[in-house]
Amino acid sequence: MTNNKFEFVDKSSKLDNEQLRPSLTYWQDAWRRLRKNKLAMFGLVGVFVIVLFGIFGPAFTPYSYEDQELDFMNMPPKLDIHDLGDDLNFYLSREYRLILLNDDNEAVRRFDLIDKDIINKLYTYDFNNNKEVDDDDVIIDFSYKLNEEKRAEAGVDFSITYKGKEYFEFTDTVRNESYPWGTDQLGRDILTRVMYGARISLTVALVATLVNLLIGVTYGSIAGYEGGNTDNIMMRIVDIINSIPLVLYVILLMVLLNDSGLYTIILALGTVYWVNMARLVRGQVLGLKEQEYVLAARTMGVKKGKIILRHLIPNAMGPIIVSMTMMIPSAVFTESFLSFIGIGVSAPQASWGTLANDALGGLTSFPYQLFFPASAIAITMLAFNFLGDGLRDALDPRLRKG
Amino acid sequence: MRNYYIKRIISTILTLLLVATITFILMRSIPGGPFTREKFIPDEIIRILEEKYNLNDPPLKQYFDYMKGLVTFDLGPSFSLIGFKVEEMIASGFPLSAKIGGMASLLIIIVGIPVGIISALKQNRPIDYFVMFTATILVTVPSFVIATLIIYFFALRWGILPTFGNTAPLWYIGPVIALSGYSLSFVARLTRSSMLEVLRQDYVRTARANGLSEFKVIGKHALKNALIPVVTYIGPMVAAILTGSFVIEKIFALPGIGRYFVDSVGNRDYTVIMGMTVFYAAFYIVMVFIVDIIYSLIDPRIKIDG
Amino acid sequence: MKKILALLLSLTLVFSLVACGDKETETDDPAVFNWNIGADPKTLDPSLNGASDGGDVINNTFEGLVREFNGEVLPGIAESWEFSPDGKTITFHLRESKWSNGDPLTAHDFVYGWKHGMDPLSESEYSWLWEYTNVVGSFEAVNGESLDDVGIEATDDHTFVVQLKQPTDYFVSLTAFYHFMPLHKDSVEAVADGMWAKTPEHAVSNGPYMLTSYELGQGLTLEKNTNYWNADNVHIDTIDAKFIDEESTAYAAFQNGDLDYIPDVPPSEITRLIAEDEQYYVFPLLGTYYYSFNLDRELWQNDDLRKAFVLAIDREAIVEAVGGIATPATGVVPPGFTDHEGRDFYETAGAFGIETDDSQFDEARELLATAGYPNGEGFPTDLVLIYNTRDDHKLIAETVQQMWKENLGIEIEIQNMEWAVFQGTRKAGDFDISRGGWLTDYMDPSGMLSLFTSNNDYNDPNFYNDEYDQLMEDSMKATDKAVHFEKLYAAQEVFMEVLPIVPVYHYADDMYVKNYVKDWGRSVLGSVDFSRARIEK
Repeated sequence: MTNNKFEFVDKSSKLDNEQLRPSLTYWQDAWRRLRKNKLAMFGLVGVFVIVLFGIFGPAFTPYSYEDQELDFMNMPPKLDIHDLGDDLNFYLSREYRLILLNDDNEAVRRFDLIDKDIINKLYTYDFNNNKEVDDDDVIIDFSYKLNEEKRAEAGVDFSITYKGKEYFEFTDTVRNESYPWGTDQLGRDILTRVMYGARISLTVALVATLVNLLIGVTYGSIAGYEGGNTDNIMMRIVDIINSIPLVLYVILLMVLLNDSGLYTIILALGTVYWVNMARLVRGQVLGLKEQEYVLAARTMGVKKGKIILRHLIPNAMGPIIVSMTMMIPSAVFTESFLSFIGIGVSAPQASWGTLANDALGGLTSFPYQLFFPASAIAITMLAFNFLGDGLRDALDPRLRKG
Repeated sequence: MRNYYIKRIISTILTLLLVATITFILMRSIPGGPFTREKFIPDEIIRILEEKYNLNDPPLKQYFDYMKGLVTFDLGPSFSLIGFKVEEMIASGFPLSAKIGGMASLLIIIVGIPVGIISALKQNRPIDYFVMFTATILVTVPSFVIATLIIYFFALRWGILPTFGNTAPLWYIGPVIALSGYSLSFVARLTRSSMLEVLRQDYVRTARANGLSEFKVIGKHALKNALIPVVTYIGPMVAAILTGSFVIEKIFALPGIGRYFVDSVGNRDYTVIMGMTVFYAAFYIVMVFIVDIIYSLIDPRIKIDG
Repeated sequence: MKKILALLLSLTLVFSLVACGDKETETDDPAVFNWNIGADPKTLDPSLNGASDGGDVINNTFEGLVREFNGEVLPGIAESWEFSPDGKTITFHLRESKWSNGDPLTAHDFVYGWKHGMDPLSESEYSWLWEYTNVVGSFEAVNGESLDDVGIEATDDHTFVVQLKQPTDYFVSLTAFYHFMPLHKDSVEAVADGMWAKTPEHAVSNGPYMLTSYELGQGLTLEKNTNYWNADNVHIDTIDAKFIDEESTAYAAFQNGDLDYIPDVPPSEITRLIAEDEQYYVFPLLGTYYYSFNLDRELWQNDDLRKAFVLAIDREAIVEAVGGIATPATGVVPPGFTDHEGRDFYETAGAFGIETDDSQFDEARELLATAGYPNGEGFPTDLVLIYNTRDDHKLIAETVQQMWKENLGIEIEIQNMEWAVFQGTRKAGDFDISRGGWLTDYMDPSGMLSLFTSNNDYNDPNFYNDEYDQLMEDSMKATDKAVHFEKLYAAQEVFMEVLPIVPVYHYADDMYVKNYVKDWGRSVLGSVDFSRARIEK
């Protein structure tokens, strides 16, 4: 057969007639499919919003995460106010702190408690700030709260007396315009702290998850694929790492690094957290490697690495992604567990876990302090989970169309 | 096959020894000792205490002594609970931890797996969305928050459950729910995802094409493969849950062993740290071993002896 | 088949573990007193105990020579006592009384109990206390000298004689403290490591109650000791005690009526409870919370600088942030000590020019400028304040950090450390500023002030001052009460002139007790007393 029997095609006319639509790479295709999945997009947008919230949010609040205003501690997001005429709006806290609000419902200042009559349950607040008890002061009588009869008669818990007139009910419930999410026990803005908390929690979670993915998947797939003694030894190492007490390890790291902060926790989680992923992937690979297509690939002499990367891991993607999305809350929780037992990030920094933990003691009086950080965790987890589910479907090679 | 078991038993023992050794080294490298107190103990008494517990021996000798004790199941005396031996502490606390952990594990298995399967079979139907949403919600709240909320609402506010004291059967509800929340939703999601994966496999399609009933397709072909990752997760999970949880035991005021894992480190109670670690490790390794056996039972193609 | 096997295997695993039994607990008797002790006491042996939870139990199961009830020292096992003219010998006359098992209680049991406590072979962590008792030969015995040379003696079954190195005013009240109980020799020697006190069959005691059960980590039961000399005045039959260390759980149980007495409440509830609930009690606790400057550091040699730091915090605000029950501190000695003229030592000593509110910030800034750091300029930026991890320590450190930043323009870092690490670091002097706190062990201001003598182990600020040491030594040697207190007043003056610490507040002790529990008491050092308590529902 000679060359002239062939008709050479010009290099420039590479386009095939049959090709009816542009070719898509694997990732383009995955993205196309991800976009179709409403829940996943919802998750993606959610993750995006939360990340933005953490990065740029603090720029929009007048406070820093450590700014304290002790006079305004434990102020909830919704305030029951008492209007005493003359444009005087008061908020009386659960701890009997009397705070003056302006017309925009912003906290202005707190009145000093100058006289505390514990026996008759009369608290006198220095209204004109002259440090003396006089007629111009505000008197709170909360004997109603303790005396069932009196309480039933008046129908209130306490009364406020100002310039001789006794006021019984609060007049309005308004939004706290100074601190939209309220303040914590040191008068710090919870909104700002939750924003900063996002940075810490997300950093811990993302780093731990990435390390988890890289080490865990590689390690697990090698162990599962190799099998035999290699597998046995590798998995025993996993057992050892998994059995050593995390607390001991974290304390040692803190002492060695002389740092009781973020880096120690990231390092600790990073080095320990991949073991569950490794076991999971190994279990999957053990089953998958006996499948016909792997056998076929092996017979054709495809290299180990390629088999693992091209055949085994994509087929194990479902559990990997589920596990990964679950790893994110798990890392956030482990971090908060460490702060629960007292070896979390150093104050005044606070992760979501720390914020939730700090709020537990005051749950009965200040539930909002738990609500916001706990909701932040919950929303983030929901978003990551929806995104994870969508990603799993989108990355599944078998679902790939044309 | 027998060879495999022998090998596996030997490697288990080696692993345990290694765990003990590494823990021993870690434990001794962190500052502080078992007699660190707010108010210092007189030197003479420290000397006597150290002599009594052989803490003044060279570390290597202490290590070998400890290992010798370990082999004979003598875990030594606790430094922080004077007069108790570590094995007594485990014997006293483990039944309760295991009871609550056992109930939680059971709940996770009998609810988590079926829910995951149903959700997978009804993918993208309302029931699927409902189940997955609920599962996700459960996983989004840390267990210490769940536990505190249970006490606050169920015990304090509504008075449905007692606040403490494991005398009434009702009382177990709180700790079991708080303990199982995260894993329950993990198992449900893992089962669902793995099931979906398997349902797309060729052999399932073939089985369906062959006209097998849906029940047979699912029960006989799909399920066992789908369970591999689930079993992988459940094995160690059971070990972790049965040996108690620090958070749950603290909040529900339970005299289990979970709190020793954390407290012993704080107290530098060397023997308890070692005892608890080895106890947990042994538990864990046995569970992992069982998981490997279950693999080969589920899928005969998996040859665990390599 | 294999499939079934697999299923069985995994299920049996779970079931076999569920089947483990649990212990039977008796049904509640409505007459019992439900008490939450807090943590599981490390030991209940009076001679070994060094913790307040164990002390609370011992105060109700044992009785010493005297009993202290709400600050009043009452005859206990000793009916009366007299001092020798030089004040160095005290003779206690013991009443006829019995152990809970019916054995007669004699002065020899006190000799045994006390010597057991100081014998190093008993490994008592608390035996250092003997140094402050001034009992002849006692601290030497703790350090390994012969027990025979200790100046305590039973001259007959009902006479107990104590020799002191020097007259010690607080000695009699000290014998009410849990370390100074008589011990029943046969019981103590029956089981090693003080376990006798946790084993009902060996827990022979001489107080209003006796131990009838103990469950590790869970709780214990005390029952009325019918052999107690004053048993007619004991009104509670059974005390059902729990070890719940989570404040919010115990609080919920109290609100639900499952507990009648809890030792503390969640901090965020305090302010409200003070105002609204007469079941909530607050007592001063004889101790001080402070921060130590590390005087070994060159930086802190600057007097103006230290004073600026001391003045730049608003103590009232800090106290309010942690619940508002503590007393803002302007010195070392807390309220509650009485001097030779019956005045309160704290009030007489004054405030050393320190205000408790926010009125001295300007002065602080001026001092800082004088010290060479106007508005904090040029001040090192890598200063670290260390504290051991706990919620309240964190809260206080955060407030102080913020106050120094706002009022002095100085930014310091705060670092929490795990307890044992912190203890080691502080002891080694490896810090710039460190949290400190001290509760006195006996009813004399020297219990606080001796902390800062040059050779004291707890002198964290590394304060070495000859004048101070001399004054402290003179006060301890003084046979005249007036001289003793004069020297102590002078010593505190010297100390507060130098300001090696930032006093923050004086501790307070709180408890939540159902209003139907009457006549319960508390010792000044903080142990609860149910010897006369009644339940009137």
